[in-house]
Amino acid sequence: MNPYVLVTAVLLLSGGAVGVLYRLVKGPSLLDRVLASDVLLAIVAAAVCVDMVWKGTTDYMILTVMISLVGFLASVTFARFVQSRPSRHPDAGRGGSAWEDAEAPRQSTQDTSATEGR
Amino acid sequence: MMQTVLDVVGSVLLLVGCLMAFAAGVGLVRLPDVLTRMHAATKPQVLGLLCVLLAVIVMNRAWALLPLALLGWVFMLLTAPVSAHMVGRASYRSKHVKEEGVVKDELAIALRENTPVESQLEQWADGSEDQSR
Repeated sequence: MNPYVLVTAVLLLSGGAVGVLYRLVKGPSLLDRVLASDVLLAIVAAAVCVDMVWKGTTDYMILTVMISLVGFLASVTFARFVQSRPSRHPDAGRGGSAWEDAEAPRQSTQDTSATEGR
Repeated sequence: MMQTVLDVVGSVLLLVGCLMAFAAGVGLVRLPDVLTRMHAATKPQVLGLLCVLLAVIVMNRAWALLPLALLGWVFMLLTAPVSAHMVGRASYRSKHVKEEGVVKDELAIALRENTPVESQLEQWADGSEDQSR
């Protein structure tokens, strides 16, 4: 195995991970962070594959399968959490769509239940 | 000769897969919006994962593991659209989509014109509310 290929692969993965971590820290909204954590999981799976090529084993193949199986659960959970929460994002560009009317009673009831719970 | 060809193919697959991860990192930093960042996020999840899994198989000559790798890739292919759909819908409904970046917004048109789509959506919202309680 050519070491230059491995070093280049690891450098590319590291560069991608740095960009993803920047978005994870800086991301203006929760959805950006959820997306970044999803990509970080994919990069970890790729890093496990590069490690398998480096060591010359195939022992961790099942790990990448498991990552691809359960990796979507976190983003689905966070997306449902964001959706059931009123938005106070400063970049909110879209005002007065019909979603407001459809969602207003639901959000207010959830608000009161949340404050009563505290 | 054959071993060299297989090594070159595996190396190219590995580098392409890692290049996808790098492109996703660059895209997540550079792109302006949640939806456009979702576009960048899909690259290492689908094509990148396929390339690195095939690279592992080709470099180790472990042809017996090809069904397992394809199974993992198919699982990613099945679950990535689920999370992308949920994140995209949540970003639209919590108004994280920048309006100047959208070329055509057919959902907003349908909602504004009060078509039967909206009554369907209201029914659907009621159903999901019951489900979440």
